Amino acid sequence: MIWLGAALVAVLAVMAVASLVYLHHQAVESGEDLTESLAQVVEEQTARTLQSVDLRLQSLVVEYQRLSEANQVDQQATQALLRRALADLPFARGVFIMNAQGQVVVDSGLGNAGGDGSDRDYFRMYREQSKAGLWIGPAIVGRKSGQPVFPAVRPIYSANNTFEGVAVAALAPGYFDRVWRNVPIGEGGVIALFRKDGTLIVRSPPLKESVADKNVGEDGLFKEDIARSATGTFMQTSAIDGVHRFIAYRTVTTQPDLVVIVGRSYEVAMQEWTRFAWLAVSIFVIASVATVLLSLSLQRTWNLKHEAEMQQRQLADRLSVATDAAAIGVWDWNIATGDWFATPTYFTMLGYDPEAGRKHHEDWLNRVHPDERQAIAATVDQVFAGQSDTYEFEPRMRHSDGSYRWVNLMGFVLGRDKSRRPTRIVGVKIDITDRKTYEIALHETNQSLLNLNETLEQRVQRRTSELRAAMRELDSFSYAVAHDLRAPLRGIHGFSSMLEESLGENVPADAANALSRIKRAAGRMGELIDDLLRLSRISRSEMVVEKCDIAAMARTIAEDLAQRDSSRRVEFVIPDRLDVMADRQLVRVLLENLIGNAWKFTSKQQEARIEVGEDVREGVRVCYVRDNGAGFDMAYAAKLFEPFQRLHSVGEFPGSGIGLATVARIVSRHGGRIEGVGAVGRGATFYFTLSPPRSKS
Amino acid sequence: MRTGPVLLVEDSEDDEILTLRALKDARVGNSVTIARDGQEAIDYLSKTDNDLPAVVLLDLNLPKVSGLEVLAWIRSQPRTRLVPVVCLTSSTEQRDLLAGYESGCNSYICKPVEFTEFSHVIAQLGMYWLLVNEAPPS
Repeated sequence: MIWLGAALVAVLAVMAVASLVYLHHQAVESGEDLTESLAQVVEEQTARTLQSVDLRLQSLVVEYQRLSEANQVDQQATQALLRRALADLPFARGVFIMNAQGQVVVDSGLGNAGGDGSDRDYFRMYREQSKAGLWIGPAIVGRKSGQPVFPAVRPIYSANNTFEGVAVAALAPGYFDRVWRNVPIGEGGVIALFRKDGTLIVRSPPLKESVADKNVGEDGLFKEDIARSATGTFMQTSAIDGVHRFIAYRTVTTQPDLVVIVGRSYEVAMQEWTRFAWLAVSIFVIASVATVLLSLSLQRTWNLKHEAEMQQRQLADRLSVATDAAAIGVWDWNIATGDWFATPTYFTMLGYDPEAGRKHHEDWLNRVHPDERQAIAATVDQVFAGQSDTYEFEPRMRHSDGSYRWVNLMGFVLGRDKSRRPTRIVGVKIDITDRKTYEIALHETNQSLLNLNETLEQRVQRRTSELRAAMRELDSFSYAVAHDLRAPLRGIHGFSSMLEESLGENVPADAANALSRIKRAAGRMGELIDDLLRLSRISRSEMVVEKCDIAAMARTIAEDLAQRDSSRRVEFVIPDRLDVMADRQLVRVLLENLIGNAWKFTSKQQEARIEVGEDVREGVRVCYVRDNGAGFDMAYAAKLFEPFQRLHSVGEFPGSGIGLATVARIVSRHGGRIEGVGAVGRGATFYFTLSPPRSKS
Repeated sequence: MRTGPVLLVEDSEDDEILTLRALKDARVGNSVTIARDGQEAIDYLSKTDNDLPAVVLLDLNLPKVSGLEVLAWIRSQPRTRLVPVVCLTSSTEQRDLLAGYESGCNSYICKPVEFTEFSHVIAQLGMYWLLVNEAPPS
């Protein structure tokens, strides 16, 4: 666009320059022509004037000769003769006649009479060369008048051809000046009469004194052109006033030694052209600027339009990609014009060919699943009735393969006419089968989860009541054990004792031994029952978890133990404070058992040492009870916490084997873990936690 | 020494014999009246002809009327409400203990399995309730 503008400007420039050159040429030509015409006019006029001078001087000479032949040359008669001649020559200042000696014999009134003019060029020329014909000389200043005049001279010859003098008319340059001023040569124009040798005779406008006598004969003009042809034109810058001019010269036909020159100021002659040129250049400049601006503006507009088009195309592309990718079909129904348009996806998502689909797009409602068709038709009717501007449905629509796909149908009324009938409706159709499938699956999953929850809750309730029943049973079992198992034992033990007592000293040794063993067995069973009851009580008691300082508890237990068996010397290492969150009762039982065990199994140690504390094992904070007693074989570590499991004989270390089972039960009721680490003869350490392990996540 | 019999409410014949033996060993001079079940105990206590017992040794696990019911009855009767009652039972269950004391027993003794311990306990009971303790005014 910008280049087009530039080219246009260039063409304009070429045209302007060409026309200016052409017009310049025309102007120069017409300037030359006009100058030439003027030169012709001036030449003719000058020729006529000079001819009339010549003729009048001839007749004067004839009249004068007649007088002199009749010897009637007297002052009065010649004076009258001259005055008559002068009257016929309005452009002459005076007329006088010189004799063969150069003496002015008669004068029309210039005051030259009696003066000597033998030194005048023209006189000498005629006297010496015996020439005939009129001679025009350069301007001179009159001897008496002091006025500039130029002479027109005619020789006088006697009948026998003797030179008798000359008749001279002193022509006034002012006359020519006045006449020539009427010639339309324009300002700066010049008209001049030259002799062919380059001598200026008269010039209009007149030259100043300083250059009045300037002979321009040295110029090429006079040397070459004028010498060669009678007429011609050329251009020249004046040597006199520096003005550049069209010059036309013309040899005066009656006076071939004279040439008329008309000069017209080039500047003035070309004024029209110059004005036109200026105007043209101005118009050109304005037009160019306008063209450039216009082309820039057009370029900008075009760029903007192009950009907008590109953007629109990109937007359309993007929208198309987006709608295609998202399986969105877009349709646009201009009800006013009847135009109906839809993107290909609108058809392809249901397996129809876009071309064929477009022709039968009204069928869409028939493809809707019969269950949903009625509601949609009703709503579309409402939209047409003006009750609603939008609609949205998620019906199933029949695919070309016969299956049904879930779609989302949305419509928007974009315009209505005066009677509220829609003029344009646009809408989208989105394939949402995947989403719907997920939704349905999700719904089903939710439903089954709810059912499962319900089932689970029922199951939990059932289990809970079962558990309660079991607890109740366990309770009554324990109760029965407590009462009913102990009573017979008491009988066995009691009656054995009574038997022993009754027999007194007479009892045989083996019988006494048997009785004693019966009693011991019964006693031991009683202990076992008590332990069992205690264990079951631990499992059944209500738990209250609170902050417990197990260090303080351990100290109390240690003091009790030391008090009970003052013979033992055991070093206890217990921290000042060791807080855990646990049930106070249970944790006391736990400590009693663990510290009690430690006490028991260090009984054979010279320097017994029992340590209670806390540690970090595998990143978990644990409490421990450690002793340097008998220890145990790690091979049996798994059996440590089973009820009635003993790793030592009763003879070696007394006990029911229920203590660590109780401890393990307490730990497990807190959700904690317990672990025994030891080696035979090297003591044992029981690590335990009293809270569920923190989940790693 | 408090007068009046010791009322032993006990369904187990073995325990009865053992208790009597223990009382004898402890040289308790009071007569001992036996009730085989709760109803018998109530019947005995109901008869105003009978002397009020100096102490009632009450097993809780009884057929027909339970020991706790007998205790409640004793505490409900104006004539018997101040009679000292010692619950003598095999149960160390917390709730039994609690129920015994709540029903107004004066003492709660768990019968040990070992006879020597049992005798010891009975002897102490006799000593305490028949000699040491000041009986309420009749």
